[in-house]
Amino acid sequence: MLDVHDLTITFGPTTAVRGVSLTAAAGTVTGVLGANGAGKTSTLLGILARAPRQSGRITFDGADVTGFDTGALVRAGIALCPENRRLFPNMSIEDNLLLGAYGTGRATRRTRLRDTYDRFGWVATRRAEPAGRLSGGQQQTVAIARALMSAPRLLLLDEPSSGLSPVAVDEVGAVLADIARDGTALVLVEQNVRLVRALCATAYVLAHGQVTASGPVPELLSDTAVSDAYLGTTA
Amino acid sequence: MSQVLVNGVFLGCLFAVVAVGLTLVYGVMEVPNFAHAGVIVLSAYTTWSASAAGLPFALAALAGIACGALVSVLTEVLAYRWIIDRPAAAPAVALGLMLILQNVALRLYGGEGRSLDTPYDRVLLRLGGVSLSGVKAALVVLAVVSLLALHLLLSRTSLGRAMRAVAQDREAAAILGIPMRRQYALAFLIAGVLGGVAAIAYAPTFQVSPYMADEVLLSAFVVVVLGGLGSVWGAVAGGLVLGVVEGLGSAYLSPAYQSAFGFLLLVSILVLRPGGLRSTNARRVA
Repeated sequence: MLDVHDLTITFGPTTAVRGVSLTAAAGTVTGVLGANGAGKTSTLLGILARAPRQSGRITFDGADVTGFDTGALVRAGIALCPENRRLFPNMSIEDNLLLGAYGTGRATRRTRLRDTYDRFGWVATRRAEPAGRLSGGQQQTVAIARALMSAPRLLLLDEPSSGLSPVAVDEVGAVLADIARDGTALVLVEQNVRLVRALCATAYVLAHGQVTASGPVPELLSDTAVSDAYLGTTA
Repeated sequence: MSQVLVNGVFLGCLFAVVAVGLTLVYGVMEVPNFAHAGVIVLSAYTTWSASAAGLPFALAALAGIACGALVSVLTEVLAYRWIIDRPAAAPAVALGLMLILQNVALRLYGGEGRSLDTPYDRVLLRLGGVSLSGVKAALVVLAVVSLLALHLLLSRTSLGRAMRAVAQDREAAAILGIPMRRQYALAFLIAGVLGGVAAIAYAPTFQVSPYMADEVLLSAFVVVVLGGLGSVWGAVAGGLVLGVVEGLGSAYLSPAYQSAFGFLLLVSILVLRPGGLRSTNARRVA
Protein backbone atom coordinates (compact mmCIF):
# COMPACT_ATOMS: atom_id res chain seq x y z
CA MET A 1 0.00 0.00 0.00
CA LEU A 2 2.58 2.63 1.14
CA ASP A 3 6.24 2.35 0.30
CA VAL A 4 8.55 5.15 1.40
CA HIS A 5 12.06 4.79 0.08
CA ASP A 6 15.10 6.78 1.19
CA LEU A 7 13.17 9.88 2.32
CA THR A 8 15.25 12.89 3.32
CA ILE A 9 13.75 16.11 4.67
CA THR A 10 15.58 19.32 5.48
CA PHE A 11 14.46 22.55 7.09
CA GLY A 12 17.05 25.12 6.05
CA PRO A 13 20.41 23.87 7.29
CA THR A 14 18.84 21.20 9.52
CA THR A 15 18.26 17.67 8.24
CA ALA A 16 15.23 16.30 10.10
CA VAL A 17 14.90 12.98 8.27
CA ARG A 18 17.79 11.06 6.67
CA GLY A 19 17.10 8.30 4.20
CA VAL A 20 14.07 6.84 5.97
CA SER A 21 12.41 3.84 4.30
CA LEU A 22 9.22 2.24 5.56
CA THR A 23 6.21 0.31 4.35
CA ALA A 24 2.61 -0.01 5.52
CA ALA A 25 0.06 -2.57 4.38
CA ALA A 26 -3.74 -2.38 4.15
CA GLY A 27 -5.58 -3.32 7.32
CA THR A 28 -2.52 -3.05 9.56
CA VAL A 29 -1.20 -0.50 12.02
CA THR A 30 2.48 0.36 11.55
CA GLY A 31 4.15 2.14 14.44
CA VAL A 32 6.78 4.85 14.17
CA LEU A 33 8.56 5.26 17.50
CA GLY A 34 11.25 7.49 18.81
CA ALA A 35 12.15 10.22 21.25
CA ASN A 36 11.19 13.88 20.75
CA GLY A 37 13.02 15.36 17.78
CA ALA A 38 13.70 11.95 16.21
CA GLY A 39 11.99 12.96 12.95
CA LYS A 40 8.67 11.14 13.38
CA THR A 41 6.38 14.11 12.69
CA SER A 42 8.61 15.29 9.84
CA THR A 43 8.34 11.86 8.25
CA LEU A 44 4.54 12.01 8.29
CA LEU A 45 4.54 15.58 7.00
CA GLY A 46 7.00 14.57 4.29
CA ILE A 47 4.73 11.74 3.13
CA LEU A 48 1.88 14.26 2.79
CA ALA A 49 4.09 16.87 1.02
CA ARG A 50 3.88 19.28 3.97
CA ALA A 51 7.64 19.22 4.64
CA PRO A 52 10.42 19.98 2.13
CA ARG A 53 11.64 16.66 0.68
CA GLN A 54 15.20 16.67 -0.58
CA SER A 55 15.15 13.14 -1.92
CA GLY A 56 13.29 9.87 -1.76
CA ARG A 57 10.45 8.12 -3.52
CA ILE A 58 6.93 7.52 -2.25
CA THR A 59 4.75 4.85 -3.79
CA PHE A 60 1.09 4.50 -2.85
CA ASP A 61 -0.99 1.60 -4.15
CA GLY A 62 1.70 0.89 -6.74
CA ALA A 63 1.70 4.44 -8.14
CA ASP A 64 4.57 6.87 -7.73
CA VAL A 65 3.10 9.85 -5.83
CA THR A 66 6.41 11.54 -5.02
CA GLY A 67 5.65 14.71 -6.99
CA PHE A 68 2.03 15.04 -5.82
CA ASP A 69 0.98 18.10 -3.82
CA THR A 70 -1.04 17.69 -0.60
CA GLY A 71 -4.41 18.11 -2.30
CA ALA A 72 -3.60 15.40 -4.84
CA LEU A 73 -2.36 13.06 -2.10
CA VAL A 74 -5.57 13.56 -0.10
CA ARG A 75 -7.62 12.85 -3.22
CA ALA A 76 -5.47 9.76 -3.85
CA GLY A 77 -6.49 8.43 -0.42
CA ILE A 78 -3.95 9.62 2.17
CA ALA A 79 -5.05 11.59 5.23
CA LEU A 80 -3.20 12.93 8.24
CA CYS A 81 -4.56 13.34 11.73
CA PRO A 82 -2.03 15.90 13.01
CA GLU A 83 -0.37 16.32 16.36
CA ASN A 84 -2.53 18.25 18.87
CA ARG A 85 -5.62 17.57 16.74
CA ARG A 86 -5.53 20.98 14.98
CA LEU A 87 -9.32 21.32 14.91
CA PHE A 88 -10.77 24.72 14.02
CA PRO A 89 -11.95 25.72 17.50
CA ASN A 90 -14.40 28.47 16.53
CA MET A 91 -16.12 26.37 13.89
CA SER A 92 -18.83 23.84 14.60
CA ILE A 93 -18.03 20.14 14.84
CA GLU A 94 -20.01 19.56 11.65
CA ASP A 95 -18.09 22.26 9.77
CA ASN A 96 -14.85 20.65 10.95
CA LEU A 97 -16.03 17.30 9.63
CA LEU A 98 -17.16 18.74 6.30
CA LEU A 99 -13.74 20.32 5.81
CA GLY A 100 -12.30 16.82 5.90
CA ALA A 101 -14.22 16.10 2.70
CA TYR A 102 -13.19 19.34 0.96
CA GLY A 103 -13.28 19.05 -2.82
CA THR A 104 -15.91 16.30 -2.94
CA GLY A 105 -19.48 16.79 -4.18
CA ARG A 106 -22.36 17.76 -1.91
CA ALA A 107 -23.96 14.30 -2.07
CA THR A 108 -20.65 12.60 -1.18
CA ARG A 109 -20.12 14.96 1.75
CA ARG A 110 -23.60 14.25 3.09
CA THR A 111 -23.16 10.48 2.75
CA ARG A 112 -19.83 10.51 4.55
CA LEU A 113 -21.24 12.78 7.24
CA ARG A 114 -24.06 10.30 7.83
CA ASP A 115 -21.55 7.43 8.01
CA THR A 116 -19.50 9.40 10.52
CA TYR A 117 -22.54 10.06 12.70
CA ASP A 118 -23.42 6.36 12.52
CA ARG A 119 -19.93 5.46 13.68
CA PHE A 120 -19.59 8.14 16.36
CA GLY A 121 -23.08 8.61 17.75
CA TRP A 122 -22.29 11.31 20.31
CA VAL A 123 -20.73 13.50 17.62
CA ALA A 124 -24.11 13.79 15.88
CA THR A 125 -25.81 15.07 19.02
CA ARG A 126 -23.21 17.81 19.48
CA ARG A 127 -22.56 18.65 15.83
CA ALA A 128 -23.57 22.34 16.14
CA GLU A 129 -21.20 23.06 19.04
CA PRO A 130 -17.86 24.80 18.48
CA ALA A 131 -15.11 22.17 18.35
CA GLY A 132 -13.08 24.16 20.89
CA ARG A 133 -15.61 23.31 23.62
CA LEU A 134 -14.90 19.57 23.52
CA SER A 135 -12.62 17.72 25.92
CA GLY A 136 -9.24 16.49 24.67
CA GLY A 137 -10.46 12.94 24.07
CA GLN A 138 -13.58 14.15 22.27
CA GLN A 139 -11.49 16.49 20.12
CA GLN A 140 -9.24 13.56 19.19
CA THR A 141 -12.25 11.52 18.11
CA VAL A 142 -13.49 14.44 15.98
CA ALA A 143 -10.00 14.88 14.49
CA ILE A 144 -9.94 11.19 13.50
CA ALA A 145 -13.49 11.45 12.17
CA ARG A 146 -12.50 14.53 10.14
CA ALA A 147 -9.57 12.63 8.63
CA LEU A 148 -11.91 9.76 7.76
CA MET A 149 -14.23 12.17 5.92
CA SER A 150 -11.81 12.10 2.96
CA ALA A 151 -12.34 8.29 2.82
CA PRO A 152 -8.63 7.54 3.12
CA ARG A 153 -7.06 4.17 2.44
CA LEU A 154 -3.98 5.29 4.37
CA LEU A 155 -4.37 7.21 7.64
CA LEU A 156 -1.33 8.86 9.20
CA LEU A 157 -1.71 9.58 12.92
CA ASP A 158 0.62 11.82 14.88
CA GLU A 159 0.54 11.10 18.62
CA PRO A 160 -3.22 10.63 18.97
CA SER A 161 -2.86 9.81 22.69
CA SER A 162 -1.03 13.05 23.48
CA GLY A 163 -2.59 14.83 26.46
CA LEU A 164 -5.38 12.28 26.92
CA SER A 165 -6.47 10.45 30.07
CA PRO A 166 -5.89 6.66 30.16
CA VAL A 167 -9.61 6.06 29.58
CA ALA A 168 -9.62 8.38 26.56
CA VAL A 169 -6.50 6.64 25.22
CA ASP A 170 -8.31 3.30 25.40
CA GLU A 171 -11.29 4.77 23.56
CA VAL A 172 -9.08 6.20 20.83
CA GLY A 173 -7.27 2.87 20.58
CA ALA A 174 -10.58 1.05 20.06
CA VAL A 175 -11.55 3.49 17.30
CA LEU A 176 -8.21 3.01 15.52
CA ALA A 177 -8.44 -0.78 15.75
CA ASP A 178 -11.90 -0.57 14.24
CA ILE A 179 -10.62 1.57 11.35
CA ALA A 180 -7.79 -0.88 10.63
CA ARG A 181 -10.26 -3.79 10.66
CA ASP A 182 -12.13 -2.03 7.84
CA GLY A 183 -9.01 -2.39 5.68
CA THR A 184 -7.43 1.05 6.09
CA ALA A 185 -3.65 1.16 6.50
CA LEU A 186 -2.59 3.13 9.59
CA VAL A 187 0.82 4.65 10.27
CA LEU A 188 0.92 5.57 13.95
CA VAL A 189 3.50 7.91 15.45
CA GLU A 190 3.21 7.30 19.17
CA GLN A 191 5.11 7.36 22.47
CA ASN A 192 2.44 5.55 24.48
CA VAL A 193 3.83 2.02 24.79
CA ARG A 194 0.49 0.54 25.82
CA LEU A 195 -1.22 1.87 22.70
CA VAL A 196 1.63 0.74 20.44
CA ARG A 197 1.56 -2.72 21.96
CA ALA A 198 -2.21 -2.94 21.57
CA LEU A 199 -2.40 -1.78 17.97
CA CYS A 200 0.83 -2.22 16.03
CA ALA A 201 2.07 -5.44 14.47
CA THR A 202 5.31 -3.89 13.23
CA ALA A 203 7.13 -0.69 14.01
CA TYR A 204 10.11 1.44 13.04
CA VAL A 205 12.28 3.16 15.61
CA LEU A 206 13.73 6.53 14.61
CA ALA A 207 16.65 8.38 16.17
CA HIS A 208 18.25 11.55 14.82
CA GLY A 209 16.15 11.27 11.66
CA GLN A 210 17.23 7.72 10.83
CA VAL A 211 15.65 4.29 11.21
CA THR A 212 17.70 2.53 13.89
CA ALA A 213 15.52 -0.55 14.34
CA SER A 214 12.43 -2.12 12.84
CA GLY A 215 10.45 -5.33 13.10
CA PRO A 216 7.61 -6.95 15.01
CA VAL A 217 6.51 -4.83 17.98
CA PRO A 218 6.88 -7.53 20.65
CA GLU A 219 10.53 -8.01 19.66
CA LEU A 220 11.23 -4.27 19.58
CA LEU A 221 9.59 -3.65 22.94
CA SER A 222 11.41 -6.55 24.56
CA ASP A 223 14.67 -4.83 23.66
CA THR A 224 15.22 -2.78 26.81
CA ALA A 225 17.73 -0.55 25.04
CA VAL A 226 15.07 0.47 22.53
CA SER A 227 12.40 0.93 25.18
CA ASP A 228 14.58 2.98 27.50
CA ALA A 229 16.17 5.13 24.84
CA TYR A 230 13.21 5.88 22.61
CA LEU A 231 10.06 5.36 24.61
CA GLY A 232 11.26 6.55 27.99
CA THR A 233 10.15 3.41 29.78
CA THR A 234 10.79 -0.27 29.87
CA ALA A 235 7.99 -2.21 28.22
CA MET B 1 -31.45 63.32 16.45
CA SER B 2 -33.09 60.74 14.13
CA GLN B 3 -31.59 62.45 11.10
CA VAL B 4 -28.15 62.37 12.71
CA LEU B 5 -28.50 58.67 13.46
CA VAL B 6 -29.57 57.91 9.89
CA ASN B 7 -26.59 59.83 8.55
CA GLY B 8 -24.40 57.88 10.97
CA VAL B 9 -25.81 54.59 9.71
CA PHE B 10 -25.08 55.68 6.13
CA LEU B 11 -21.49 56.43 7.07
CA GLY B 12 -21.31 53.18 9.05
CA CYS B 13 -22.48 51.13 6.06
CA LEU B 14 -19.75 52.66 3.93
CA PHE B 15 -17.10 51.95 6.57
CA ALA B 16 -18.42 48.40 7.02
CA VAL B 17 -18.27 47.50 3.31
CA VAL B 18 -14.70 48.76 2.99
CA ALA B 19 -13.62 47.30 6.34
CA VAL B 20 -15.05 43.85 5.62
CA GLY B 21 -12.90 43.66 2.47
CA LEU B 22 -9.85 44.60 4.52
CA THR B 23 -10.54 42.25 7.41
CA LEU B 24 -11.29 39.31 5.09
CA VAL B 25 -7.90 39.66 3.44
CA TYR B 26 -6.21 40.16 6.80
CA GLY B 27 -7.94 37.11 8.24
CA VAL B 28 -6.87 34.82 5.42
CA MET B 29 -3.46 36.20 4.52
CA GLU B 30 -2.46 38.55 7.37
CA VAL B 31 -1.88 41.43 4.98
CA PRO B 32 -2.80 45.05 5.86
CA ASN B 33 -4.15 45.72 2.39
CA PHE B 34 -3.65 49.48 1.89
CA ALA B 35 -3.92 48.80 -1.86
CA HIS B 36 -7.67 48.48 -1.26
CA ALA B 37 -7.84 52.29 -1.61
CA GLY B 38 -6.37 51.99 -5.12
CA VAL B 39 -8.88 49.26 -5.98
CA ILE B 40 -11.75 51.56 -4.94
CA VAL B 41 -10.30 54.43 -6.99
CA LEU B 42 -9.92 52.36 -10.17
CA SER B 43 -13.42 50.91 -9.71
CA ALA B 44 -14.88 54.40 -9.40
CA TYR B 45 -13.00 55.64 -12.49
CA THR B 46 -14.09 52.61 -14.51
CA THR B 47 -17.73 53.25 -13.56
CA TRP B 48 -17.34 56.95 -14.39
CA SER B 49 -15.69 56.34 -17.79
CA ALA B 50 -18.19 53.61 -18.76
CA SER B 51 -21.04 55.91 -17.77
CA ALA B 52 -19.47 58.84 -19.64
CA ALA B 53 -19.14 56.59 -22.71
CA GLY B 54 -22.92 56.20 -22.73
CA LEU B 55 -23.40 52.87 -20.95
CA PRO B 56 -26.49 52.61 -18.70
CA PHE B 57 -25.54 53.21 -15.05
CA ALA B 58 -26.26 49.61 -14.00
CA LEU B 59 -23.83 48.25 -16.62
CA ALA B 60 -21.26 50.91 -15.79
CA ALA B 61 -21.53 49.92 -12.12
CA LEU B 62 -21.04 46.25 -12.99
CA ALA B 63 -17.97 47.20 -15.04
CA GLY B 64 -16.64 49.10 -12.01
CA ILE B 65 -17.20 46.13 -9.69
CA ALA B 66 -15.57 43.76 -12.22
CA CYS B 67 -12.58 46.11 -12.44
CA GLY B 68 -12.29 46.17 -8.62
CA ALA B 69 -12.35 42.36 -8.48
CA LEU B 70 -9.76 42.03 -11.23
CA VAL B 71 -7.34 44.63 -9.84
CA SER B 72 -7.67 43.18 -6.34
CA VAL B 73 -6.88 39.63 -7.53
CA LEU B 74 -3.95 40.97 -9.55
CA THR B 75 -2.44 42.57 -6.43
CA GLU B 76 -2.56 39.16 -4.76
CA VAL B 77 -1.21 37.18 -7.72
CA LEU B 78 1.52 39.65 -8.69
CA ALA B 79 2.63 40.93 -5.30
CA TYR B 80 1.24 39.58 -2.01
CA ARG B 81 1.58 35.91 -3.01
CA TRP B 82 5.34 36.30 -3.23
CA ILE B 83 5.76 37.62 0.29
CA ILE B 84 3.44 35.23 2.12
CA ASP B 85 6.41 33.85 4.10
CA ARG B 86 7.79 37.34 4.81
CA PRO B 87 4.99 39.08 6.74
CA ALA B 88 7.27 41.93 7.80
CA ALA B 89 7.40 43.05 4.16
CA ALA B 90 3.60 43.15 3.77
CA PRO B 91 2.93 46.74 4.99
CA ALA B 92 5.61 48.20 2.70
CA VAL B 93 4.38 46.19 -0.29
CA ALA B 94 0.77 47.19 0.47
CA LEU B 95 1.70 50.87 0.68
CA GLY B 96 3.69 50.62 -2.56
CA LEU B 97 0.76 48.99 -4.34
CA MET B 98 -1.59 51.72 -3.14
CA LEU B 99 0.72 54.40 -4.55
CA ILE B 100 1.09 52.50 -7.83
CA LEU B 101 -2.68 52.12 -8.29
CA GLN B 102 -3.37 55.75 -7.38
CA ASN B 103 -0.71 56.89 -9.83
CA VAL B 104 -2.16 54.67 -12.55
CA ALA B 105 -5.44 56.52 -12.01
CA LEU B 106 -3.62 59.87 -11.99
CA ARG B 107 -1.85 59.00 -15.24
CA LEU B 108 -4.99 57.74 -16.98
CA TYR B 109 -7.54 60.29 -15.79
CA GLY B 110 -5.58 63.25 -14.42
CA GLY B 111 -5.96 64.81 -10.96
CA GLU B 112 -9.16 66.68 -11.70
CA GLY B 113 -12.22 65.50 -9.75
CA ARG B 114 -14.99 63.88 -11.81
CA SER B 115 -18.64 63.83 -10.95
CA LEU B 116 -20.38 60.45 -11.12
CA ASP B 117 -24.08 60.88 -11.97
CA THR B 118 -26.61 58.22 -11.09
CA PRO B 119 -30.28 57.71 -12.02
CA TYR B 120 -31.22 58.23 -8.36
CA ASP B 121 -29.35 61.53 -7.82
CA ARG B 122 -32.56 63.52 -7.40
CA VAL B 123 -34.48 60.96 -5.37
CA LEU B 124 -35.24 62.04 -1.79
CA LEU B 125 -36.86 59.60 0.61
CA ARG B 126 -38.80 61.03 3.58
CA LEU B 127 -40.04 59.13 6.61
CA GLY B 128 -41.42 61.28 9.41
CA GLY B 129 -38.84 63.94 10.10
CA VAL B 130 -36.02 61.94 8.53
CA SER B 131 -34.90 62.35 4.95
CA LEU B 132 -32.42 60.25 3.00
CA SER B 133 -31.06 60.99 -0.44
CA GLY B 134 -31.30 58.34 -3.14
CA VAL B 135 -27.52 58.02 -3.22
CA LYS B 136 -27.33 57.33 0.51
CA ALA B 137 -30.29 54.94 0.42
CA ALA B 138 -28.61 53.06 -2.45
CA LEU B 139 -25.43 52.73 -0.41
CA VAL B 140 -27.31 51.32 2.58
CA VAL B 141 -29.17 48.82 0.35
CA LEU B 142 -25.99 47.79 -1.49
CA ALA B 143 -24.13 47.38 1.79
CA VAL B 144 -26.84 45.21 3.34
CA VAL B 145 -27.23 43.05 0.21
CA SER B 146 -23.49 42.54 -0.32
CA LEU B 147 -22.82 41.77 3.37
CA LEU B 148 -25.71 39.31 3.51
CA ALA B 149 -24.40 37.62 0.36
CA LEU B 150 -20.97 37.39 1.96
CA HIS B 151 -22.49 35.93 5.12
CA LEU B 152 -24.24 33.23 3.08
CA LEU B 153 -21.05 32.47 1.17
CA LEU B 154 -18.99 32.12 4.34
CA SER B 155 -21.53 30.14 6.34
CA ARG B 156 -23.29 27.97 3.76
CA THR B 157 -20.75 27.05 1.10
CA SER B 158 -17.75 24.78 0.96
CA LEU B 159 -15.59 27.65 -0.29
CA GLY B 160 -16.63 29.89 2.59
CA ARG B 161 -16.03 27.12 5.11
CA ALA B 162 -12.55 26.59 3.67
CA MET B 163 -11.85 30.32 3.86
CA ARG B 164 -12.81 30.39 7.54
CA ALA B 165 -10.59 27.38 8.14
CA VAL B 166 -7.61 29.02 6.43
CA ALA B 167 -8.14 32.11 8.59
CA GLN B 168 -8.12 30.04 11.78
CA ASP B 169 -5.23 27.68 11.06
CA ARG B 170 -3.52 27.82 7.68
CA GLU B 171 -1.39 24.67 8.13
CA ALA B 172 -4.28 22.58 9.45
CA ALA B 173 -6.32 23.63 6.42
CA ALA B 174 -3.48 22.73 4.07
CA ILE B 175 -3.20 19.27 5.65
CA LEU B 176 -6.82 18.66 4.67
CA GLY B 177 -5.92 19.34 1.04
CA ILE B 178 -7.46 22.82 0.87
CA PRO B 179 -5.60 24.75 -1.86
CA MET B 180 -4.14 27.83 -0.22
CA ARG B 181 -3.58 29.87 -3.36
CA ARG B 182 -7.19 29.52 -4.41
CA GLN B 183 -8.32 30.72 -1.00
CA TYR B 184 -6.02 33.74 -1.11
CA ALA B 185 -7.25 34.67 -4.60
CA LEU B 186 -10.87 34.19 -3.50
CA ALA B 187 -10.40 36.48 -0.48
CA PHE B 188 -8.97 39.19 -2.73
CA LEU B 189 -11.74 38.65 -5.28
CA ILE B 190 -14.42 39.18 -2.63
CA ALA B 191 -12.55 42.19 -1.21
CA GLY B 192 -12.34 43.63 -4.74
CA VAL B 193 -16.07 43.17 -5.32
CA LEU B 194 -16.79 44.90 -1.99
CA GLY B 195 -14.34 47.67 -2.95
CA GLY B 196 -16.23 48.08 -6.23
CA VAL B 197 -19.55 48.22 -4.39
CA ALA B 198 -18.13 50.86 -2.04
CA ALA B 199 -16.83 52.85 -5.00
CA ILE B 200 -20.09 52.99 -6.93
CA ALA B 201 -22.07 53.56 -3.76
CA TYR B 202 -20.18 56.49 -2.34
CA ALA B 203 -18.45 58.07 -5.37
CA PRO B 204 -21.67 59.96 -6.27
CA THR B 205 -21.61 61.75 -2.89
CA PHE B 206 -17.99 62.83 -3.36
CA GLN B 207 -15.94 63.34 -6.49
CA VAL B 208 -14.03 60.61 -8.28
CA SER B 209 -10.34 61.37 -7.81
CA PRO B 210 -7.12 59.38 -7.29
CA TYR B 211 -7.19 60.15 -3.55
CA MET B 212 -10.93 59.78 -2.94
CA ALA B 213 -10.52 56.64 -0.78
CA ASP B 214 -7.71 57.75 1.52
CA GLU B 215 -9.89 58.96 4.40
CA VAL B 216 -12.35 56.09 4.04
CA LEU B 217 -9.45 53.62 4.13
CA LEU B 218 -8.16 55.20 7.36
CA SER B 219 -11.60 54.97 8.96
CA ALA B 220 -12.00 51.40 7.68
CA PHE B 221 -8.73 50.39 9.35
CA VAL B 222 -10.02 51.91 12.58
CA VAL B 223 -13.13 49.75 12.09
CA VAL B 224 -11.05 46.61 11.45
CA VAL B 225 -9.14 47.12 14.70
CA LEU B 226 -12.34 48.05 16.56
CA GLY B 227 -14.11 44.93 15.35
CA GLY B 228 -11.21 42.58 16.00
CA LEU B 229 -8.70 41.71 13.27
CA GLY B 230 -10.11 39.16 10.86
CA SER B 231 -13.69 39.34 12.16
CA VAL B 232 -16.26 40.06 9.46
CA TRP B 233 -19.15 40.67 11.87
CA GLY B 234 -16.85 42.66 14.12
CA ALA B 235 -16.14 44.89 11.13
CA VAL B 236 -19.85 45.34 10.44
CA ALA B 237 -20.53 46.21 14.09
CA GLY B 238 -17.44 48.42 14.25
CA GLY B 239 -18.43 50.22 11.04
CA LEU B 240 -21.88 51.05 12.34
CA VAL B 241 -20.58 52.14 15.76
CA LEU B 242 -17.90 54.34 14.19
CA GLY B 243 -20.35 55.83 11.68
CA VAL B 244 -22.88 56.73 14.37
CA VAL B 245 -20.22 58.10 16.76
CA GLU B 246 -18.65 60.25 14.02
CA GLY B 247 -22.13 61.39 12.92
CA LEU B 248 -23.17 62.35 16.46
CA GLY B 249 -19.83 64.00 17.19
CA SER B 250 -19.83 66.14 14.09
CA ALA B 251 -23.51 67.13 14.55
CA TYR B 252 -23.39 68.03 18.23
CA LEU B 253 -19.77 69.05 18.81
CA SER B 254 -17.88 70.01 15.68
CA PRO B 255 -17.63 68.53 12.16
CA ALA B 256 -13.98 69.65 12.10
CA TYR B 257 -13.11 66.83 14.49
CA GLN B 258 -15.15 64.08 12.79
CA SER B 259 -12.17 61.71 12.41
CA ALA B 260 -10.90 62.54 15.90
CA PHE B 261 -14.11 61.09 17.41
CA GLY B 262 -13.35 57.84 15.63
CA PHE B 263 -9.86 57.61 17.04
CA LEU B 264 -11.11 58.54 20.50
CA LEU B 265 -13.58 55.67 20.23
CA LEU B 266 -10.79 53.35 19.04
CA VAL B 267 -8.57 54.17 22.01
CA SER B 268 -11.48 53.81 24.46
CA ILE B 269 -12.49 50.39 23.13
CA LEU B 270 -8.94 49.10 22.96
CA VAL B 271 -8.38 50.13 26.58
CA LEU B 272 -11.46 48.15 27.62
CA ARG B 273 -11.15 45.26 25.11
CA PRO B 274 -7.62 45.03 23.64
CA GLY B 275 -8.72 42.42 21.09
CA GLY B 276 -11.54 44.60 19.71
CA LEU B 277 -15.31 44.15 19.89
CA ARG B 278 -15.19 40.50 18.77
CA SER B 279 -11.92 39.47 20.31
CA THR B 280 -10.94 35.81 20.36
CA ASN B 281 -7.81 33.78 20.89
CA ALA B 282 -7.94 32.39 17.36
CA ARG B 283 -8.04 34.34 14.11
CA ARG B 284 -11.15 33.74 12.10
CA VAL B 285 -13.25 34.99 9.26
CA ALA B 286 -16.87 34.85 10.37
